[in-house]
Amino acid sequence: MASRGTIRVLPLPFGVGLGTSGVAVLFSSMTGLVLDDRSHQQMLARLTVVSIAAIAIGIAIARRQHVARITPAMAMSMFVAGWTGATLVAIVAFLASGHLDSTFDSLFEAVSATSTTGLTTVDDPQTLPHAIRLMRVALPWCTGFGVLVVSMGVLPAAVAGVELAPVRRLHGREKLVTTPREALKRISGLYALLTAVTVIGLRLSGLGSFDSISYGLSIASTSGMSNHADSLGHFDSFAVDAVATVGMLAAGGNLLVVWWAIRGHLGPVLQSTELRLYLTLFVLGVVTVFAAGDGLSIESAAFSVASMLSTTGLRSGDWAAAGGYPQAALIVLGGLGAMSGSLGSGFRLARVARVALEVRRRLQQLVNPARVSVLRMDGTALNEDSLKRTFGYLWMHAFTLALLAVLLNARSLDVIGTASLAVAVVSNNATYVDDSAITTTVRLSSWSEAVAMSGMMLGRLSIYPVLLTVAGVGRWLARQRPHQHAGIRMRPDA
Amino acid sequence: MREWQLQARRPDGFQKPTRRLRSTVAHISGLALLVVAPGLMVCAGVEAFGRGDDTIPLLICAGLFGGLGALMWSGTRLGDLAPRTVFAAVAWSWLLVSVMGALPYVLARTFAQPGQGRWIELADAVFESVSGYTCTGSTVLTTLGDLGDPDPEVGDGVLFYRQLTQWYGGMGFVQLVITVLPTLGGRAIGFIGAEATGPNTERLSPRATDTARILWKLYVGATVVITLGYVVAGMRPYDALAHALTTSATGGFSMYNDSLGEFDSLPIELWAMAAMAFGGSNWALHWVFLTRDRSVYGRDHEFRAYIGVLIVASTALTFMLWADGGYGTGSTALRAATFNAISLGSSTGFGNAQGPGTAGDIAAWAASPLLVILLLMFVGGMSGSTAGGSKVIRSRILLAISHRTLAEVRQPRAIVPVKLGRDIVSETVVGRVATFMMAYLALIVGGLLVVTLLGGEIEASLAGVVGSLGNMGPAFGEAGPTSTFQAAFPTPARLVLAFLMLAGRLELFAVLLMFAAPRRSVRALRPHKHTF
Repeated sequence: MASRGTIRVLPLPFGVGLGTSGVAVLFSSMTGLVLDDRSHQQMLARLTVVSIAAIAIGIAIARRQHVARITPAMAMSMFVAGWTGATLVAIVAFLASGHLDSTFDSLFEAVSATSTTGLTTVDDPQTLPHAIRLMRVALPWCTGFGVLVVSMGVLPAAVAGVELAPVRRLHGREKLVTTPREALKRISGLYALLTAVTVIGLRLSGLGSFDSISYGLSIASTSGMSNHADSLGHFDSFAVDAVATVGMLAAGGNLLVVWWAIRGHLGPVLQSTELRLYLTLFVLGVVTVFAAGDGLSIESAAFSVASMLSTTGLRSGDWAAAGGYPQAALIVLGGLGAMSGSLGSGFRLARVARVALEVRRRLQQLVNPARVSVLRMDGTALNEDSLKRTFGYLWMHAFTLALLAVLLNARSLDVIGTASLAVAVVSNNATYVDDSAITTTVRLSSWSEAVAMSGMMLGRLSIYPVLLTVAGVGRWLARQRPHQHAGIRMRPDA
Repeated sequence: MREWQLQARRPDGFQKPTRRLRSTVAHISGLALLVVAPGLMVCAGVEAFGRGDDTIPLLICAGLFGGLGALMWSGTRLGDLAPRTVFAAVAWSWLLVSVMGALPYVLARTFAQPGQGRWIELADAVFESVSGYTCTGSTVLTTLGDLGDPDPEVGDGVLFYRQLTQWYGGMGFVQLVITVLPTLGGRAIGFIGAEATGPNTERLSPRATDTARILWKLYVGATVVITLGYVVAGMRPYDALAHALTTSATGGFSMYNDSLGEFDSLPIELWAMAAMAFGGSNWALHWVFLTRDRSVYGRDHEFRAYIGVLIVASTALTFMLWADGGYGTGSTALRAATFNAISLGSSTGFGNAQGPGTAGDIAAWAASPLLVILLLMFVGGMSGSTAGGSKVIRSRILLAISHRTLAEVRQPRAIVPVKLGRDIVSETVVGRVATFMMAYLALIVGGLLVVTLLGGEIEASLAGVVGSLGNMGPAFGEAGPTSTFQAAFPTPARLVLAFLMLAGRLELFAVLLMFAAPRRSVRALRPHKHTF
């Protein structure tokens, strides 16, 4: 790790990150030029300068590409480098806008946006200019796309989150990810399609153009960033809630599934263990939350379950006021997270399925100690090493969650509030419980905000890449220092 | 000479035809009831000479325990001793004793309240009994008195029985059964393993029966020393004995409303802290320390981690309470934080609050200290101790697994063992620990969903589920240390919590297997379809 090879491949993703965020900021500032009044012109000019500079620097850095054989560890470092580049531009853009209360708030908003979390320090987003409101949803949309490419193209082999093998077996040679170029083309097509369909659906259900685009981007990227203090609950519309529910469910699903469905392979698609688990959890969640929720309508229950399961975090009804069970169930669903190969975050259902299968096997072995069995998922034998890694990841995830919950030290929150905030930041979910009401606005100390930001970053980057990169960079820096052999004085010519 | 002795002595393995039913489960369960019966006689004596008028119900219970136990024991003989049967036998014994243990409360009408149905009274009695035998310490008893109360609502004998249930459960009555059951021979280690806490079972002697005897001797000795310590610290001898029974067992039942906070005495709390930390550590280590090796504590990874966890948690809690500013001086914060960290870190559950809202009342603490407490409740004490929780060693192994995974991701071709210090942990243990912890987490999540679905408030339910599964005692919110579980949870939710207590005490797998072994026995009794 952090070998010379790794260090030399990092400029490419870093530059791409800078450029992608730059495009998002440029798009927002251009929209602002049309929609915002003249009083914001200076701010828009600053944003335009930032975006153009980011794109230019990004291109310049990315051109210093070094082609090498990419190992899993290198891929993870590249993932972190790309995200860091995107976040740097977002921070500068929010600072340049001058519309947030403090530097720390700008930092928080930027990290929340690029990690597709959606938590915010802004009490009422409607007071912000159009450009900034759009930037809050365009940034996660762009970085979310990067996450999708990396998670579907490179990381599956490394982090045991997504196994493409079952997919290949089901569909022969017709797989989504073939070469990086083709993967990029197909994934971007699917992502754009999902976004366009959601935007059109929202527009047809009665939302204005700006809100349709904003919420469409927010739903497709599962960021949960909202233009209103009450999120989608502001519109109080069944049609809007219904479109958003379907959009969030699709965004939290594996894009491979959407691809197969488009290609007409609906039968095999429905045999996918992870998809069945996803749909089962959705249906079970809706039924039980509706049944146990005090005063929660069925559409509100469906919206809430889709929002939490896909780790989007948009809000319609207040499920926290509906009793203990809806709170517990929805926080748990938010922690489990979406399907692998989606923009959603959390522990991921593919891992949940693997862990459940392994626990069942161990229990069977307890009854019959001589029993030897091979675990199969979707008709394919699961690799034992990848199972081990899944368990390793589970504990790392759990430790991170526990540590964050304690370190958050949010004095204004109770135990459930703190726990739900910790789950929200690690799962990149915009909603948590504050004083028995759901909210996306954080009112935390600088320390707690810093802890929350690290949680969002760890959650978005699946923990390991961050740890590996930090350790690797530390080692690389150590290697740059002159060697000091304790007790031995080196000769000047040695 | 008795028949089982004759059978044990047949060198050719031939067993004389007998009409006794072959059932390991019933045989061990019967003996478990038998060993509890003398305890009930003692309680009847306490009731007769103390305050209370429930001597007859307690004597009836002693008779029932003894009679049923003798019937089950003498009417059956040991059968299959495969691991699954052994696990099932231990689990059924615990279930039987815990449920039968509710009888003294039912006959003494301890939980009778005006306007309350008999079923709820029965459920409360079962909850209290399970909480006692599993050393959890959660209570639904709302009629506990204060220290100087001349006329308590519950008699001395019944209260003493409540304390004694925890003492029996602490080291485990199946282990006690083994000390008087020589026919098991080398197979006894299976029973010890099924009942003991933690991933490994340590032999202190080549003979498993001797291991059980050593542990029980040590347990009795420790209880006596703790009693003397309490007396020296200022307790009345009767209070000292009653509290020592639940301290050595890391159970946490007290006979007073405010638990140890009732005494408001620093020496008593200091002695209790030392005793709780002792009870929460591995008893095999104590034996080795006393008999062979004075440096054993320092060399043991788990002990070092256990003490480290207690010190770090106490320090963090002290700082948090002190920074919060609402708990008086720094020394008050230190006292409250250290006591509660050790009490819950060792899974005892004693409280030192002198009433609701005081420094020791964890239910009144802010979120961060409560989350530290929740983590302590999850981790629990050492393996091989009387403590509950998921055990320190398992958390250490999980950390090592995460570290191994990180190393393997970095170098995919490397074969990295899981290590504790310099010792390599076998892959079998690693797999077992990972599965156990996964099942533990799943039970916490499942339990939380079920308890909230049954009407529990979410914060109390979370702490209640973690506490019940970890056999801790108090929870948060309305089920805090100065309150009871009756106000916080509806009756069905309390029964779910009681099940979790049993599952936690028997470390999940025994409870899961308790249904597998009898099913196999029934299947074996059926005539074969394909005979000739």
